This record gives sequence, structure tokens and C-alpha cells, in this order.
Amino acid sequence: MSPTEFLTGAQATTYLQYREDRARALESGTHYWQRIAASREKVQPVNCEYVGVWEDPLSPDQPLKVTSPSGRCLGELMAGGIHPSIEAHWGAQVLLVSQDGRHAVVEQIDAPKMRRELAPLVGEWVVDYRRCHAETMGPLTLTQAVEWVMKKDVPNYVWGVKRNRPYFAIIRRDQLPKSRAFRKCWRLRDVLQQMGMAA
Amino acid sequence: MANSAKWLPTVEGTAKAWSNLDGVGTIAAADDFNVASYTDSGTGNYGVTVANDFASGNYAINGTAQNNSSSSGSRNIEVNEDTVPTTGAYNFYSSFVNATTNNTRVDVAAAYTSCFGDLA
Repeated sequence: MSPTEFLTGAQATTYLQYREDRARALESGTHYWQRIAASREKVQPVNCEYVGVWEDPLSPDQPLKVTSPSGRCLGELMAGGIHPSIEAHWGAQVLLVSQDGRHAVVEQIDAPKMRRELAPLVGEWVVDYRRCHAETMGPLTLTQAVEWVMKKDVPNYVWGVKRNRPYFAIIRRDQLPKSRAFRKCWRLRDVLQQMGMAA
Repeated sequence: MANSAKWLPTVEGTAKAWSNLDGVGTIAAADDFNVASYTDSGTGNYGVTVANDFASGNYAINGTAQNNSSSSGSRNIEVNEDTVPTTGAYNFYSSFVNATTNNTRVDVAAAYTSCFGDLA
């Protein structure tokens, strides 16, 4: 059963509008993915010595996570004209059509929540990605590019909330422990103390 | 992309994102496409975040891992059962299996993944 059969009026219009706008972006060659694909032969990957290290406050027993930016993505960000602003990524919304066979629940939620909570929900949804298709940024410096990747891919409740101890830091790769023998026990405070920083 | 209309017939059948990840030591990609970052969450536990999200979590993920010729057994890639793929990210385990070792998580020198599905 099509989701539009559950929807009425403005809901159905919004649902169909998202799909039409996505098709239009593909036809016009302005789709975000097409910009990435078209840049592949022009943009070289950038080696980056920095990684983001973080602990998830919602899963305190989990070991330290290490987020490493893609060299190609950094190259694209530094070239400019390919990726949208971080605000466009955060502003992406999803129109959720969750159906249990009898009725639909239509909800618009923002991108960070979508990444964390959408998957377990059952139903069909369309992502409002129109701003990401329409908007591009100019060239970034390497520092700005790394910050863009971290702000996009590390949950904002990790780095955007002040707590009584650090949960997130950007460090050089060589500042991580050399041995991975106890990888599942790595904690952020150990890494920072090794660097001579209070944790 | 001089004539973008020519892209249309190929878009449906192409991999929307792929990666060749070196998972030993501090992780780094040998190469990738439409990937923003990788996250090392523990031994044999990796996450990939795409740049252009998928339209839903219902995309297909393929994965293989490079084997180590010095050990008899196989290294496998499996999508995490506890963190199912979302529109913008997926997690996977790499594990080792042989006659005496049952699905032990290990870091792999190369984890190859590709994703097929509708884009946002």
C-alpha cells in the first residue's frame, strides 16, 4: 500500500513534493551525489593527521571511539563547490510515514535525531534533502574541513553539551596508544593524560 | 558532467557509496566514494558515515574482508545486529572463523563495503 493512501491533504502534497524535487535535482545534474561523483577525477584526497576521539555519554560502558575523516571528503571540502554547509545537513528533515497496517503517523524530525532514532521505526519515509542539493560552500581550510566532518558525523550531544569532563577531542593520530592489545578498554581520560592534559 | 541527462540510466544501478578501509592501527581509507568519515568503535567494530544520505535505511550493504595468508580460516564482514543502518551511517563487525575459533572479532587490513539504494 502506498504511503499516500494513508495521507491526506498537505501531508500527501509534502510527501510527493520531496520525491519530485529529488527527481528534478537528478535530472538537472545538481543532486548532491552527482556533484561528488563529478568531482572524483578532479579532486585529490588529502592526508589528514587528525582524528576525533570521543565517548558516548549515552553508552558510558562503550570504549573510546575514533573518528577518522575520509581523505576524499576533505579534498572535496577544500576544493569547494561540492558539499553544502553543515547547517544544511543539520536542517535535513524527514517526513516519516510509520504504518501499522491501519493508520499512518506522519512526523517531521531533524537530521541528528533521524540518524540516531529513525532506523528502529517501521514504515516508509522520505528525507527532505532539498537544501543539500541546492546549496554549496566555497573552499575550506583543512582545519575547517575537519571541523565540518566532526560536526556532521559525531553526535551533537557529544561535543555540543558542556559536561564535568571532556567527552570529545581532536588529536593527532600519533597521540593514540600504539598498542591495540587493550583496545576495548581505551578511555578518553587515558589518552588526554598521556598527552599531559587534564581529563 | 557536460550532459547530466546521460547519468540518469546509470544512477539506479550504481553503488551510491563504497569504501576500502584499512582497519589495523588507526583506521584510514585506502579509497572511498561518498563517505565522510569512519569510526573505530573497538576491535573489529567499525562505522561508516556517508556524505549524501540514503532516502531510507532500506539500502543494501555488501562487505568482504582481506584474509591473512598466514592463518587458515576466513575473515568476514557482518552488519551489526545491534545498530541497524540509518539513512546516513552503517556499522559492521569484522570477524575471524576457522576450525577452532568461532566468530572472534578481529581488525582487518582491508574491509571492502559497498552500498546500493535510493539516495535522499
